[in-house]
Amino acid sequence: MYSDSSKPEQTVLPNQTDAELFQALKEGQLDSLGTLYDRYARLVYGLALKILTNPEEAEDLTQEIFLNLWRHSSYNPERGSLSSFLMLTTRSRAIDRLRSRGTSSRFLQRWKYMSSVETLSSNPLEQASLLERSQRVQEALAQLPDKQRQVLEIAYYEGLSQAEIAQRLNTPLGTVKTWTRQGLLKLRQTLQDFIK
Amino acid sequence: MTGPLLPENWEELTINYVLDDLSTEEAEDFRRLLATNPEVAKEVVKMQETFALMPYALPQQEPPAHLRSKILEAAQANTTLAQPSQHIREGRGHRFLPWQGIASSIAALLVLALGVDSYRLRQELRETQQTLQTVQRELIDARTAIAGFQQPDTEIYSLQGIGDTATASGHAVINPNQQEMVIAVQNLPSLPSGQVYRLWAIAENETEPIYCGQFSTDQQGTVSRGWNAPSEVFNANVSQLLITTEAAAAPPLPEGPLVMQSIIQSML
Repeated sequence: MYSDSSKPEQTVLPNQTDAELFQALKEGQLDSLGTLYDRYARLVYGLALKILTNPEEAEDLTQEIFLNLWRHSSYNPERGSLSSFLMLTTRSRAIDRLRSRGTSSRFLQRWKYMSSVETLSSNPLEQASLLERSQRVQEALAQLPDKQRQVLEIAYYEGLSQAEIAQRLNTPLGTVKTWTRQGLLKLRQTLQDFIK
Repeated sequence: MTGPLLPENWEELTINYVLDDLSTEEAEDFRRLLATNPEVAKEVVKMQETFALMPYALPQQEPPAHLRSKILEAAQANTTLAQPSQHIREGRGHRFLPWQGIASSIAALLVLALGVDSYRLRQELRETQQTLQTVQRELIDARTAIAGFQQPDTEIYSLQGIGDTATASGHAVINPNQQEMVIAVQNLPSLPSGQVYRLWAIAENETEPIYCGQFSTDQQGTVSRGWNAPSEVFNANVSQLLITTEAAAAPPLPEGPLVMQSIIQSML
C-alpha cells in the first residue's frame, strides 16, 4: 500500500515522457500516476489555490484532477501536451467552482474539438524542469507591459470575458482586446521553443 | 495557407476562442472553421498552449504531504473495483451487456463514497480495501445475475481452465436476441504469434462441435470481447462450451489441446 514513506524519488522514472506515462497509466500502472503526480501536483495544486484561494478546496480539486486522469481521462496525446490538458482542466473546474455554475463542458469542449492536425506530445516543455519552466514563464510575463499582463492574468485566473475586463478596468473594449492579443502573441513569441 | 471560407477577423476569433470569449454558437462556428482550415487549427493549438503556460509563473505551492498517498490509495481502490467493467467495455460489451454499466455505476459510487472526498474515510481506507475486494467479487456475481434478468434468453456459462491453465476462469454469454457472443476470461496465458484460442459449442445430442470464433488474450492473460457468432450456435441447445489452442491458420476443427471448458450452465 502507498504511504507517505513511498516518496516520489523512489518511483519516479525520469526518462519516461508524459505520453509514455499516460499510456502506462491507461494500462493500469499505478506508479505512472505517482510519477505524473510528482511532476505536476505542485502546478495543479498551485493553480487551484490561486483561483480558489482555499487550501482545502485546492486539495480537493487536485485529487479530483488526478483521479479523473486515472479513471476516465478524455486526454488525447495527439491533441496537445498533458501539462496543458491538466492546466486547462484544473483552471476550468476551479473557475466552475468559483462561480458555482456549469461551464466546465464549455471549457473542455475546446479540448475535445481541437484539431488533431499536429501532435505536440513531444513537447520540449517536458524536457525542462518545473523550475526552469517557471522561471522562463515568469521572465516572459515580466517582459510584457503591465496592462497586457494584467488582462491575461484576469482572463486566466478569473475567467472574465474581455468585455468584463474592460468594465473592471474602465477601459474601452477595443483597447482590452488589443492588449490581450498583443500580450498573447508576445508571450507565444518569447516562449516559442516551449510550444513548437 | 488557409481555406477559402476564412473570415477577415479570424485572428480576433482565435484569441476570443482561446480565452473562451465566444458565445456557444460562435464557438461552434469557429470549430467548423477549424475543421476546414488545418493551418488555423494549428495556430489555435499553439495559442492555447501559450495561454496554458500562464500558471507556470505562479509561486511553487507544495501540496499537503498526505495528498499523494491519498490519491494513489483512492486510485487503487478504483482499480480494484473498476477493472472488470473496463475490460468488458474494451470489447463491444456495452451495446449488448447493459448490466455492465450498472456495475460500473455501483463501482463509481462506491469509490466516491469510500475513497475520494472524505477525510474521515481516508483513515479507514486500508481496512476498506479488503471489503472492496469482497464487493468486487459480489459485483461480478451481481452483474452476471443482472444480465440474466434483463435478457431472459441469454445463456451464461462459467468457464474454468484445466490442466496447465487450471487457474484460468471466466464467463461466456450467448445472446440469441442480438446474435452475439461475449467472452470474458482471466489468467489464460497469452499465446505465441500464429496461435489463437478457439471457442466451441457442443449442442445437446450432437457430437460435432460448433466453431464459435477465435480470440487472443493480452499480456495479463485477459480478454473481454464480443462478436457475431454463427447462427447455428443460437439455434442449438448448447450444453457445453470448450476452448482449445489452435494454429490461427488452421481450418475450424478442434484439434489442439483443450484449455478451458464450461462447468455450470445457468439459464436465468
